[in-house]
Amino acid sequence: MRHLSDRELWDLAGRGDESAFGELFGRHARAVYNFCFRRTADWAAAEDLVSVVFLQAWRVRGIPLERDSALPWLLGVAMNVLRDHHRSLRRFRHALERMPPPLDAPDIADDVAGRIDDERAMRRLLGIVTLLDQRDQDVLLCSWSGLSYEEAAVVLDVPVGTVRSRLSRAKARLRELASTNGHSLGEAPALSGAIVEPVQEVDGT
Amino acid sequence: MKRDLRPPADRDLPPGRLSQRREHLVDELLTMGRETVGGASRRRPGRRWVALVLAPAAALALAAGAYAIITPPAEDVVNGIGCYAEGRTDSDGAFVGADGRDPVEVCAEIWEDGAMVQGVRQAPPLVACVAPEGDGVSVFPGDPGICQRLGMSPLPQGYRHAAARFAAMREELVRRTHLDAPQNCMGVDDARAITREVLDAHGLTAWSIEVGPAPEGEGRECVSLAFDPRARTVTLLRAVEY
Repeated sequence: MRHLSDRELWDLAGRGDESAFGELFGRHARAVYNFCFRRTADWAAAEDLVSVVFLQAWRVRGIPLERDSALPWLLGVAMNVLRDHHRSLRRFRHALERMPPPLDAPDIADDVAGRIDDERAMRRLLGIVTLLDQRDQDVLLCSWSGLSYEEAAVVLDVPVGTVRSRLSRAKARLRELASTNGHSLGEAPALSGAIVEPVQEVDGT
Repeated sequence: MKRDLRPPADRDLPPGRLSQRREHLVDELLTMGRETVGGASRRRPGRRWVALVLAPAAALALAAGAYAIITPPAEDVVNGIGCYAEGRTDSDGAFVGADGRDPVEVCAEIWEDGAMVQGVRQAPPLVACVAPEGDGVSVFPGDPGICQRLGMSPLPQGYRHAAARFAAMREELVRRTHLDAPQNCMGVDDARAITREVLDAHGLTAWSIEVGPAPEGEGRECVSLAFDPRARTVTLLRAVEY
């Protein structure tokens, strides 16, 4: 069978093809998983939220996809789900309860330890980031996912120019926080390279 | 210290969980489909008429030792086109939306793109068939007798007109409701009014509008659209905006 684009799969899903939607899940679950982790600092919750995001996206499957990639759109759904992820998890709790238990795969000690370290590091980072305005946090979340300005604009449902200005503001505010709170995160020179720059400029507006 | 300013590197889902979650998702979608659109599907305008009129004819044909296949109305099968690589329904295939063009032409283009069978860029003779309970068109390589051998019937008369009309209606409805952006929101009343207007404008006056069950949770309620040509129904699916 030929390789179908996201748009074709989305169209099929819009007509009720569950397996086409499953294929989209296979393509984008990892990106959504990491996106959710960066807001929750909890890998287990992020895994459940991946399911929630796709269950929620299925409900609006009749809407045509305007871009070739479904990812920005899915991350837009994720952004809404993450506004109150506890409530999102409660809302789909019955579906999540039907999730079979994990396979009997052997734990890899390094992986387990690495995930615990990740969660600790992410909590520290969120401790600073959550001091920002919510909209600035959102744009930062997009930048961490390596989205272009254009893609971030789709996720946030705002014009590209707004993404630029919010990112600029987030960058300035982070510098300010880093320099005043005495936190170990406060190395201003690293901010532009580590947090802000992953958003790639795609046009000249 | 610099590493602290970066979120941790991306990770895969734990081993086996991606496929497990994917299977779980598809299972859940099947359940959701029955809960939301399934209710509307049970009410099928025209189904009763077909059963009453065709049943005696089918009985007569069977009595005579013949084999009768019920051809669905053209309006039932506008929900896409399946292009199959071989003359059987479990072969590989490509599935595309219907827009009113001849399904054989649509599938021939896919063959000529080399997308159906590796190394093959010429379409074989193709035949369009419809299954009695299907909602789309299936196109197989083969001779004209293939539809009957697969328990299907040839493309019903008026298919292209019906498919073009459905596609135009759907396109206009999505455009008018502005639901083509992920965070646009329209309530049930507005969506219902626009849907009725668009359906009527496209001559689909027999179509009905169903409203899905009330969502759980608090917040602004937004609808999305689900189309069921067999049931002649547009369902307004309700969800709470976060």
